[in-house]
Amino acid sequence: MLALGGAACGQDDPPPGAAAVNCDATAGMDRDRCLHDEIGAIPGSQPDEVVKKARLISDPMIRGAAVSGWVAAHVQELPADKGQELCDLLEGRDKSYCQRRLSSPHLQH
Amino acid sequence: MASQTIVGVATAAVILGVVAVGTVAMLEVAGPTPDIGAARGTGLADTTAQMPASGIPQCDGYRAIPETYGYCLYKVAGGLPDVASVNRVCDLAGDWEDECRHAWVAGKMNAASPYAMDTLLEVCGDNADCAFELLDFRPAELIDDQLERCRLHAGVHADNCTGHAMQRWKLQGVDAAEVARVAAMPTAFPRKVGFWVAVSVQCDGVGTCAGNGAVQGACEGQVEAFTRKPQTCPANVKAPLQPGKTATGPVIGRSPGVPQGGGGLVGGGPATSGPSTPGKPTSEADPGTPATGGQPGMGGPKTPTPPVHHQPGTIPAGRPPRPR
Repeated sequence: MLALGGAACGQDDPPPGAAAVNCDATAGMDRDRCLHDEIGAIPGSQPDEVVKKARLISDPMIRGAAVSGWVAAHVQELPADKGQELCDLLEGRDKSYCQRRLSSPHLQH
Repeated sequence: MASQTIVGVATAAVILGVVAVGTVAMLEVAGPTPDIGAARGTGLADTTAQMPASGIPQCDGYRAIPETYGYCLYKVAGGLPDVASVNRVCDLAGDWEDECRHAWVAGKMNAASPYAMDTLLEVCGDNADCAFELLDFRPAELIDDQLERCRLHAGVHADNCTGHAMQRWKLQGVDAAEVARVAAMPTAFPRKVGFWVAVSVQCDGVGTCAGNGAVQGACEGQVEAFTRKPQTCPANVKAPLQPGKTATGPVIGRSPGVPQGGGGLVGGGPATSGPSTPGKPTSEADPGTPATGGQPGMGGPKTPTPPVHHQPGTIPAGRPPRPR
């Protein structure tokens, strides 16, 4: 039964705490998606990791979605300088919106 | 009859197709269409369920990635030509729908916009931040009307909206009769109203706290706080702060009753962010949203901190329309 359950969850599932996928093994949009998903799993205490991975994403739209979504999810935990560094990865109005999110008390929940 | 129906449906489909193409042509979108071929090469696009097409080529290539698809639609929302397009496109944006709607409304808040307040509020939908920003950017002339709009439309931000409205009311310059009138009004946010009445009373020496019971109580408590710490009276600034600029007007800690000098306007105060504890006087004004110097919708970056007691929640006298 346990074996069946394990199979249903996917035999390639990594052990808890391990990286889910090695994004280096992928390429193109798949790699960007992989990095996007990895960023989504990064805890709020590790903004530097987000910056590092975001810079590896080639597609600006996927990068923007990853960074913007992460900032929205962790805005309460972000020190101002790290938040700014993340917002700087975005472009145009989304960058402004990101900065507004960081600096507006009414948006920090 | 059946054939007529089929012809009708086909005609409608053609019309919709033309409209969609026209819509796309009007969009101010830029940038390459994503390389769907690359995704196909990996099997990604073929194996993943796709979101419905938006008709926006720049985004439709991301249909297999709902999160990015929604983000893309939000990014191009500002260029959508009309409300129908916004409703259609933003409905596809998933988690980004609120931002998508907000992004469009943000570009239509300015005075030159043909869109009525009610229309824009409707587009904001459930996005309280969108409504808050819109109400803030297009305030009603009468404080009574603005406070009611805040209550009705600003949702979770209604108290902040009330704070901004009251700050603006104070900035206009009020006499004792107006202070008494506003202090007597029923309000859902007596602490915010009471705070600004107290600013008039104690910091400017105009009027008294007498009025609506809850407002009066909040006002009296705040007057005590200002009495103990007069330096916490809201700052006066001549102009809204812009990113990269600092406050030019000193005016913090102005003695109660001293008239404003140099035509400077009042700023600061707990324009946003709820006071910490209900019933407890605010001894130090809360920071507010960076309503200053921001562009509608996407707001302005955090305003720099001026030398003394600047609060970033000052209300702009008028923000420039967002460049598109």
